Amino acid sequence: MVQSFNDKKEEGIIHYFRKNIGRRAFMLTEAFPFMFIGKIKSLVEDMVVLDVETTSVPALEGKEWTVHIHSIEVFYIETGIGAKIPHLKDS
Amino acid sequence: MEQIEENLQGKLELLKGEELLVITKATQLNLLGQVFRPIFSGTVSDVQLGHITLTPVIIKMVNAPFYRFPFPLSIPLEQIVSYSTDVPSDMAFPLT
Repeated sequence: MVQSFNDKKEEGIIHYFRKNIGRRAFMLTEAFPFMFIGKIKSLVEDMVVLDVETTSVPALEGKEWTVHIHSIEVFYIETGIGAKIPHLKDS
Repeated sequence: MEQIEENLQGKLELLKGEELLVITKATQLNLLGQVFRPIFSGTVSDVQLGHITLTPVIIKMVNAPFYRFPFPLSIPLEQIVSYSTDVPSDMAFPLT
């Protein structure tokens, strides 16, 4: 069966988030509140469930957020090797 | 003459270690109050099925066009609008 190119990209990115459940992630979305930093808890279809520690809006922090993977513009997931995402709430 | 169609994944794999300028879909993004256009420049460090990773990565902010982001950034292939390997990351160009 022929899979569209977009389906292939979509499946790849969902697989990558699923593989990294339990890890900290940084993501930017065009939509409010623009930035999320938190731990990936689980995936529900193409939505990622996060334990959010930091956003652009302090009132929205410390909560569980579900974010549509396709609305994530750029992201970074800590993998144990390589750079860590800073804890912005240390101060 | 018809050109042989290439496979994007394979083509991107070949760019590992190379400098890339990537533009994504959003009209604008917001990083802790700084609004900027989604224009990223950096060296391709990883290519996976659904995304590429740039390390180090520069965010082209209007008042800081060479702002080096503190950690790598991954870009979903779905969000990529265009990319070029012909624009060096130290090249200045208008962002408006």
